[in-house]
Amino acid sequence: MLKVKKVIILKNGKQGSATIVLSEGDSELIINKVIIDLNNGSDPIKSPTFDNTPIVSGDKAQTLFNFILKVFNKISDTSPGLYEITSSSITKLGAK
Amino acid sequence: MNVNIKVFKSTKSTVQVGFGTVTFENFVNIRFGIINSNYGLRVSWPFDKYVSNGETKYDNKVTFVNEDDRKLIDSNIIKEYNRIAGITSTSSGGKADLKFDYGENENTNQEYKNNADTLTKEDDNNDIPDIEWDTE
Repeated sequence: MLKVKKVIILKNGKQGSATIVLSEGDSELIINKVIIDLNNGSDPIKSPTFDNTPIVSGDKAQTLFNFILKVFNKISDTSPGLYEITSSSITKLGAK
Repeated sequence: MNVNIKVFKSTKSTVQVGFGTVTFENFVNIRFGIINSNYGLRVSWPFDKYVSNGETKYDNKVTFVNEDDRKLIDSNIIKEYNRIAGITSTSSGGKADLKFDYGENENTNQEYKNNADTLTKEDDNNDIPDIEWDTE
């Protein structure tokens, strides 16, 4: 089963991006360029697209996106930087 | 891991001769193109193209960490494309579906919700996300 290994969030105020690392066994798939913009009211998080089609979709993806948004909101706007989220921790990797 | 590949033959271009979708576990749907290059057919995965300091650069939107995974999926896509290209006329698009498993067997014993609990325990709403974490 495909699982979420970790999520990397780059936060800069109300905007940022996320990278999702999915894994199963030795296989890993990285989804880059998930765009976050809290100023974009009804659509604050967007999957990367290909030919205008979202790469990540479905109920699982929406759950994960909601989770990413929740973590993003928890991080202070005045603490920009790179964050690594795993199942048990949020770690600041470096300031912007 | 269950991987579902849909391959379509395109007749609109002599360069991009096909396209399709790879779906991982009904979770990630990745569009791809099939390019007819000087070196034969190859699979093009989504990327951003931009210019920095006068130099054209590419950022992959999707990365297979294990190169063998990408090769396996690429070869299945090309194989399927060749199959439908051989059996369909050139006047209309052909379509094929292919399902296969790759990676290790599913570990159904993996528990993850306790770990998700830890992450969200300070959250006032405390609605634990139903996300399957890889905790190994």
